[in-house]
Amino acid sequence: MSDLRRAAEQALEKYGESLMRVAYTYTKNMQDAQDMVQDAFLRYMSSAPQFSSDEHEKAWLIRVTINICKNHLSSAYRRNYAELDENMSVCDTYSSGLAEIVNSLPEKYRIVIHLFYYEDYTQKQIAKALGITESAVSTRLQRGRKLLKEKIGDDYFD
Amino acid sequence: MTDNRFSDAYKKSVNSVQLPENFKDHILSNLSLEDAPKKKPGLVLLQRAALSAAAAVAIVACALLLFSVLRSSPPAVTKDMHFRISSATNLAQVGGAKVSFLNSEGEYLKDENGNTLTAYTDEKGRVTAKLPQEEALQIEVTAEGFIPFVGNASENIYVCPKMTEDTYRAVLTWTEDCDLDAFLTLTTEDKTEKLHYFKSDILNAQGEVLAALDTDSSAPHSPETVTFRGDCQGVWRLSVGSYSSLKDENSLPLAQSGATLTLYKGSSLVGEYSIDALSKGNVWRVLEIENGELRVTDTTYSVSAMTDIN
Repeated sequence: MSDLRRAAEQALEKYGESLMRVAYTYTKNMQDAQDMVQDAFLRYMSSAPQFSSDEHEKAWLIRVTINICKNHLSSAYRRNYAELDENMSVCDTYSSGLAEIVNSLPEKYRIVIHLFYYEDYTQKQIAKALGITESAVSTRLQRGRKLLKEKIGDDYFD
Repeated sequence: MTDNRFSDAYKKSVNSVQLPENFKDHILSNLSLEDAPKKKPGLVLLQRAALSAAAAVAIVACALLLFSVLRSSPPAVTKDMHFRISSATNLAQVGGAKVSFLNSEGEYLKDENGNTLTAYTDEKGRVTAKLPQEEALQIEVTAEGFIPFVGNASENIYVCPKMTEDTYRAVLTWTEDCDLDAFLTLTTEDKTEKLHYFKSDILNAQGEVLAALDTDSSAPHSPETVTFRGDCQGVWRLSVGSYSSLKDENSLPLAQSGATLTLYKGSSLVGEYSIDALSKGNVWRVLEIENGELRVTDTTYSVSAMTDIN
């Protein structure tokens, strides 16, 4: 087994679940999410990036997964079959309380909410992962929280 | 903003959702193809040659397709747009400032080579850029000694000099033809209320300035800037009053002024607040700061004299 292959296996073990949940936040479909993470690891293998720390490696994988998801969502196939995919999400297993409510938000809000509240990312880290400004992250976070409050009330928020 | 209760409940909820069984095994099994070439270098060369040939054919096909698309579709509509960057405290022009642009999604605009579109102001704070005619374009400005600014790409941009960490600065701007003023009250621990507006600074018992007006404005697109100290005990309340509505009841309502108040602290942007276009009244109470804690109040009410603002 090559060193690269071993590194990929270790990264998948450490970050696989996080990456699946990030991908699902975009795709709303577990099979698609698995395909997105699969692609991220194929890129990991083909580009053999060097990392300065575990956090750096995780951030790289999350950023690559997000880019793959965005490309997937903007592809002609996805646009043509968006309605079908939305229906599929209803039958999926991701229907657990708050997670489901967050996943009902528009895409640009739910990914920011997920990274902030699940991954404990700072606004600066989110900005880097999504390729947008901290100001845009702040705005999306505020609007996402407002939408969540409309759905679940103020009780969960400071 | 920590929202620990939401964060904990959300994590619990997400973690309760089952991921596909053996998803890691499935992913790993498909990685083996990528790993194989390293074990069979001879095969790699043949595969790479075949792939290169296929890629060359694909690139030519894509180029032809792109050429035909470019010929048949109109080019993106762009135009030269001019901006002037000035200091929010003394209106001095800011030269050498780095300027970038963002679309309505908050993503940086790129040039034809895929690089972030960037320009620098001349010594008079002016910069011109060829930009798409998008309604909600944003501008990002960074300059030595100033707090980074991101906001709507209007013709005149005002940036705020960095301050000591316990200092606040509020910059009020508006877009429509009316005269607005920034009002600041300090309610101290003994319940004494001190009002600051364009002609009266706030001093403490020792005569030290706690709040002062940097620039006054009576017209749109020019800033009214107030600087105040965050290290004093009490409640700061920041409001915006419509002076024109007191002079003339038929003047433009405050709600339609396009008023925006931007708050900075130290070397950071705290937030940008805009008037609700459906609100009523001639005073907009924007926010309060009590012993360093910010509360956004965002309410409106009416007064018959500016000294009634509280």
